[in-house]
Amino acid sequence: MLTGKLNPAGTAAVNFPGFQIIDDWTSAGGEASHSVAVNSDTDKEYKIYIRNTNTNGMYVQPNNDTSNGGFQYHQNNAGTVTAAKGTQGGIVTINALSVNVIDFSAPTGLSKMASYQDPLYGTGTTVTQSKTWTTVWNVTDNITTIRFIPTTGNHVAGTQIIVFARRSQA
Amino acid sequence: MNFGALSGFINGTESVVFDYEVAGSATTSIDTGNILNGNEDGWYTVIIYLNSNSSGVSPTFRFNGDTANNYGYRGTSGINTTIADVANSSSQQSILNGIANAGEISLVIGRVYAKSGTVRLTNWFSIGHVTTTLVTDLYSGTSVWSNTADNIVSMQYTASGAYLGVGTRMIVLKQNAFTNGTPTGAITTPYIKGSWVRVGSSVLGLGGVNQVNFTGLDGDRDVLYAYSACIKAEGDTDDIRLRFNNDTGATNYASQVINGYGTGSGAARAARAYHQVGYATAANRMTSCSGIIWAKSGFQRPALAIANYNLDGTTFLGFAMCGWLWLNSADNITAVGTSSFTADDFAEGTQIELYALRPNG
Repeated sequence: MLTGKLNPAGTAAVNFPGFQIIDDWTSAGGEASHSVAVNSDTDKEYKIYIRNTNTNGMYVQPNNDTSNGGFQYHQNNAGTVTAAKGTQGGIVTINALSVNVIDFSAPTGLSKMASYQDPLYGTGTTVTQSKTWTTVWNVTDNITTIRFIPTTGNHVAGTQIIVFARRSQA
Repeated sequence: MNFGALSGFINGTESVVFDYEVAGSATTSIDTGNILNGNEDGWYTVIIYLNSNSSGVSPTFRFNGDTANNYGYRGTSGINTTIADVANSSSQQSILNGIANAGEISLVIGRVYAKSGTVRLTNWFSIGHVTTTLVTDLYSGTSVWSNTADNIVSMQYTASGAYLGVGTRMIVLKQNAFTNGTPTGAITTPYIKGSWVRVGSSVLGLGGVNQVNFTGLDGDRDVLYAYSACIKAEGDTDDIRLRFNNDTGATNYASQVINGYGTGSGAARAARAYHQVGYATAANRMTSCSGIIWAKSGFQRPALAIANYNLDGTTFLGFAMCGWLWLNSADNITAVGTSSFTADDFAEGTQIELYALRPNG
């Protein structure tokens, strides 16, 4: 049994039936969007970690699609509990000032689905909103790029996006 | 080149950095010690299974031993049919519920953003007061640690006395560095100790299948499963069922949910012959589910999941945040099965996956 650290950059890439990081990006501030090249027919599933430091929200758009999205959410906004459903641009919308871990299924030939928790931070020790979403991108195409774009303006310095895909790095 | 199983921190993966199970006698606290480096690791996943030995055990969760009022949280609770706001803007701890009386368990999953320079937010999903037959409460929400300056080096899960009973376990996973260079070789391995590894996978090339079974499992070795299903229906599937070891006992699966149907929200509790992981009423409708299952035998077997229902184009019927319990606490899990309730089936493209953690290898 091999133990210790492996460095794919310098030594060996690892092939095993699990998730591996394919992108780890931190905004320097001012970027209009950030995109990750993928192949969803191969990858099948993603886990996407987002720390959004922007005071605006963010869209996650497969193939840069600004439509074809649907959602159902449940939220507690400052003590008021509500739910809603509707359409949106892309597969995911996240809050400003949030952290999110998105479970993203991308089966070949089917619509793509995601689910995640999505808070809105207030100030100090106050969390303003707790929200849980389930969403769909109603397109059966292979996803070749995933775009992360603020709902308004540009990315803010410190925003971080990490994408895990179920693929080999070897 | 196959080296067999790999162990250690493999760049580009998420893997276990701390794993402690209470053995021998109950204890007061589980402390990672100063082994963490939040600024380097970035994110943590924290999974806590509490086996309580006293009344109203409500452990705290803290970073760096901070016991001051530097925490706050907001979430929603579902207790039987009641949903409610849960909030505190001046708390001495982070965790969202996960309370249990003697003989009860709780399961808590937290996703922590750990880097300094900003407040540290944690998304929590938990069930508490899980008896041998009932999931009493479900919580979903987010907490904040308002300390922006200090690197996170430790985490503490602490009760007010020696109430963390034998079997209580805290597992912390971290993300290992990603480097985008040119590899000089390749290693193929069936699994990596402490990383999520796929142990069951079904992508249907044809329809006409109304069940998918993953067998040959070893739940006591695997400890935790991550389950995901994305199902397209060929007709009216009704409830889509998740079962362990083909247990079809009429009330062997308990649930507590918080749901959203359009603009309506509510909570519900049930006992069924399955965990409901989906629902579709017509051909081409879709339904999906993702969640975490505590698989180790010896104590109650809970799970936390999010499931959506009867998607038609971009319109969902609804969805639920689910806290589940399989009433069998004794048998090793050797099979996980997904099936449709009616004769109508899973269509081509349906994708069902199962991952195991195997923290002990």
